[in-house]
Amino acid sequence: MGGLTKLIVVFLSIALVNNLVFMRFLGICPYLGVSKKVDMAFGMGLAVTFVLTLSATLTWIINHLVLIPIHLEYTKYIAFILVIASMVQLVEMYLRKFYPTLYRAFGIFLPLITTNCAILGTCLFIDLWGYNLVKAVVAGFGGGLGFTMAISIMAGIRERLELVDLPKALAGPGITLITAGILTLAFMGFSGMVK
Amino acid sequence: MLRFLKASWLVLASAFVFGLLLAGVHASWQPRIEANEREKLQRGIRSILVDADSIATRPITLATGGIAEQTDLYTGFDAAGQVVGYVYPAEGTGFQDKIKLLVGVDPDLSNYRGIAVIFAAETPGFGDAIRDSAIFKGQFIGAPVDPPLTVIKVGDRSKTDDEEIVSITGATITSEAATTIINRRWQQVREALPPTAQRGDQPQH
Amino acid sequence: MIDKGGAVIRRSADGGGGGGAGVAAAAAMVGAGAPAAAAIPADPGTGRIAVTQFVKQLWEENPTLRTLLGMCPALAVTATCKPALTMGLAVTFVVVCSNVMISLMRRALAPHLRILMFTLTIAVFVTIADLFLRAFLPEMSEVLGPFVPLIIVNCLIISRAESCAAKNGAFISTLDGFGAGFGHALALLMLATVREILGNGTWFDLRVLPSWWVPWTVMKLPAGAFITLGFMLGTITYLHTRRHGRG
Repeated sequence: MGGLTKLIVVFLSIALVNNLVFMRFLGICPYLGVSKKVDMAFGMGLAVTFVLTLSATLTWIINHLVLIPIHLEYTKYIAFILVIASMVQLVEMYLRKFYPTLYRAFGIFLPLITTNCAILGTCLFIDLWGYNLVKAVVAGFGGGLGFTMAISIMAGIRERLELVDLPKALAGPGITLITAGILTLAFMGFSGMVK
Repeated sequence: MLRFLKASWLVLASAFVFGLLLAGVHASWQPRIEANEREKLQRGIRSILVDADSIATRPITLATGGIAEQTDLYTGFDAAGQVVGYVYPAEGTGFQDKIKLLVGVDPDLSNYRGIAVIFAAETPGFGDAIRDSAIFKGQFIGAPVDPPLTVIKVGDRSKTDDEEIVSITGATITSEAATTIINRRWQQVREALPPTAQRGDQPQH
Repeated sequence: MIDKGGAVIRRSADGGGGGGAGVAAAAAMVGAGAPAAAAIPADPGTGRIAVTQFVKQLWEENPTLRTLLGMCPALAVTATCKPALTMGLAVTFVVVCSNVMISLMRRALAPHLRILMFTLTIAVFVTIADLFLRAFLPEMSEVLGPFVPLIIVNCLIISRAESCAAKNGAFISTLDGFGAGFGHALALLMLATVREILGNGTWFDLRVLPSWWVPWTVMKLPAGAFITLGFMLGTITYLHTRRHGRG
């Protein structure tokens, strides 16, 4: 398989087949409360994509150039989360200084993203799957886009659900999860796409 | 400098303490972790080479499309020191996740001796059955290495040749994936295996 | 008696679905000036407060079912009950240890260091828990897979650290930790029981349903997890509303 084909496979694999939200359960927690509107969901998705691509790159570099050579693999989790947290902090400071409009657009999402399971989870999956650096970057980017798509779809459906008669108890997180479940069934159709 | 220390002494102190704690925990438990991994591998190998008395491990290099790949070859010996079979790892993409297998071949490299699944996260109840289904895995015992194995579905027709593998009902893709992995690996490994005349492996005592 | 953090959580829960709690907790942390709410006075007896905290965390404000914290692993590891219990115990271990550590450090925590120290402490204990599983329970470690390290970003633990450990003594924090951990484990077990019985006919690997029962495979899949949890949350919310009038 040519190099480019392999990368496309990696991209599709993480965006669709192993979609972070529906197939890997990552990134649900903050989402459930935050985004009921499509544009907010989309914004958060883009923020996640941005942070995830950078994190995937940085954590890969730290893992392969620092941790493994000095046999400190067991500090991986600590290193990863600290890298992610610091990077989000730096990105936030940088954006606030140089791109204030963008910073305001991201709003509260940026600091929330640190505890987003999707970021740490994807970095760990990349490590588990043994990707090289290029594939890791592609996976970070693709994962983020898949995540964006997933929560935008869900936000869209939730917007519609507001106009509907629901049993009171199910309103909010209840129906959101059921929706997610049905969407997961749909996404299972992508399985086996990558051979 | 002093201001820096004042602001961050807690972080530095905890980092030091935590570092010690982790290093200690890791040092005491790492041997067990490694032992667990080795045991899992050994269990897999022994499930294939059931009549092996001892297993020798030797790294081999495969030429995979021009790229050299290092892997381990496990040779099983019986009590008399005769080779009973070879086992090598194989992996590839399954339906949902990776599939990692151990594949065994008999000493004269003509038939498979069986497979063991090291890792599979397929659809529970369907593809995941390759892990435990003695029926599915049993089909590989005695299956010829040449020509490559093919997969047929239950109900297509009765199995006519030993080289046909009947897929698990409702898990065609997983079954095909596993078979492809086995076929592909055989092509890669066959050149690295010793020809019948020279068996340089010695049993480890 | 519960501190400001709790009040914030409850208010947002009324607003737009309990999930707001996650945001509120995070927002409370992020706003660097989050005022340290008045520490609970020691007068009523530390013991009683501790026990109250424990019980509250277990059911009333069960972190997973009421404030929706700690759900990522909930969905992933609850296909059967054994991994669910293991995960619940692992989380309990981490939250208790981290609560104790943080409560011991609480007077030295400058505001800008809080989150960093929380994260660092939690990460260390999660690493220890992971090493423990890999050394002594390798099959469980394999089943739980990458979700053990994800305990680090489990909103539940950080939320307990922020709301309780940073403001109270070690004893209270310990019991709060146990309450939250067990509450979370309870929620996981509830979810896993439904999924395992319907999806496999077993409970803790013991066959419960007769062999003519065709298992609902969807229960073993992510889809079943989402749907079951959705209905469970609906049921709990309904029970809570009936009991208290309003969420």
